[in-house]
Amino acid sequence: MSDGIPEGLIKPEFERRYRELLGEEYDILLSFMARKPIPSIRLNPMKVDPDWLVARLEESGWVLEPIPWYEYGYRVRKGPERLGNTEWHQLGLYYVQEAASMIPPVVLSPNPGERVLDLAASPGSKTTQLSEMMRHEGVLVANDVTPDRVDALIANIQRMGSINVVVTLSDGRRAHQFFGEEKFDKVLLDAPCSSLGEVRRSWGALARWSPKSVNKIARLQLSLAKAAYRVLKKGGVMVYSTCTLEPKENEWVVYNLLKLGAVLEEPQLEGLRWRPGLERWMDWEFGSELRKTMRIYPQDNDTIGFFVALLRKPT
Amino acid sequence: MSEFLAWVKQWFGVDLSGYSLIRSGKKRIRILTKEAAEFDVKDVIRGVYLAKKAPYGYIISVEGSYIIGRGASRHVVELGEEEFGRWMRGEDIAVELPEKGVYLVKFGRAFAGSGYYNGEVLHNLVPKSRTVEP
Repeated sequence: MSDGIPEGLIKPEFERRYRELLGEEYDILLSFMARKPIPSIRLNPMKVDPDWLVARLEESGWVLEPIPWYEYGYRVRKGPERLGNTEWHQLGLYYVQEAASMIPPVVLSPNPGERVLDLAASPGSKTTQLSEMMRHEGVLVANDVTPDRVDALIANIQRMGSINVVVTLSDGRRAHQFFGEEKFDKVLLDAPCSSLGEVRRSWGALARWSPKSVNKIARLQLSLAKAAYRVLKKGGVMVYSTCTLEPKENEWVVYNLLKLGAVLEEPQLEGLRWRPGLERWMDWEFGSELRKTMRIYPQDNDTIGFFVALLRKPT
Repeated sequence: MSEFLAWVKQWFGVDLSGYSLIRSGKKRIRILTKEAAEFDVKDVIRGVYLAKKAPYGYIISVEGSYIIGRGASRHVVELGEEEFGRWMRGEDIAVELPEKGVYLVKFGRAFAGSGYYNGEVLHNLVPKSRTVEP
């Protein structure tokens, strides 16, 4: 039992599976899961000169550490307790965003002028990051499935000033019916998941975890991923990501996309440590191609856990 | 919409014709890129809230203040650090300005919404949801 994780929260089946997955590193995973994540922020270069803002924050006593994989990302080693209640936050000059959560947009790498879809967009951290990476040029469609989720998304798009974003409300599993086939140059599907990677922020994911719940959400993820792939143009690229470490929600979903003809590409990111995706897990043989996906464990970069896959639709 | 565009041009010296502006309800105006405006899909909303009609002109949103403010040649007021702190807590600021009307507020390189100057104080038009809690 790891220090800090409440007694009884880790189910025997969880321990069995993750010991099998990680071997001796299982205890290291738990020790990182028990730690609060390091707060981090993403500066908004479309509203303010980032160097000016960094200088202002440091003059105010903040201690910032650049995040290697995103040029406008910083860990806040010392700063106000409520990062969401500063004048800079309220003006939309930064977004409080976990460092690993900045990875999927960086891997997708949208360009100004492209048509991009963020299929499960709320609350909008990645949407607004994508919009900034596009320099507000081109079209970014931010979709989510329920009105309350869309409300949160709209508030963040407003605050960050993302003027190239169109917000839609639709069931992502039918994205091809809502948007039409092969409409987008790039698609991000940061899928709803069992959130095991986020245990550092809340114990809830550990409490809710069960093989049954993982299987249920994996089916939803696969439906979303298939729809996301359908709305992708030929030659376009898609990122499938989750904040969980569950192979059924990650490699299994990507393995099924490969059966549709998707081709995996190897992400290029500097300053980030990750492990290749699994070739096999329990009864599944995913194959060596899955090694091109990224497994990011909390202990690798002192972040929350993430899984990221970069896929191309052949021309 | 042409009335608003003319007002922005006359009052701030800024031409917004490179953007698309759309009405949202009776008084509100939203701003977005032309490509986002032309994209054919059933939307919930597009772009961001820019301005709202008021008896004295238009209230400019925080986002509007940076979109317009970056090119504005007049009616921008730069606050000192202490004043900026109070402004962001929702306070009105006693200042002396050339004429009555709407001003964009700036601190360093950051824009912070708009205020209405009545000849004595700059009334804070930043919505409470965008201010800092004490």
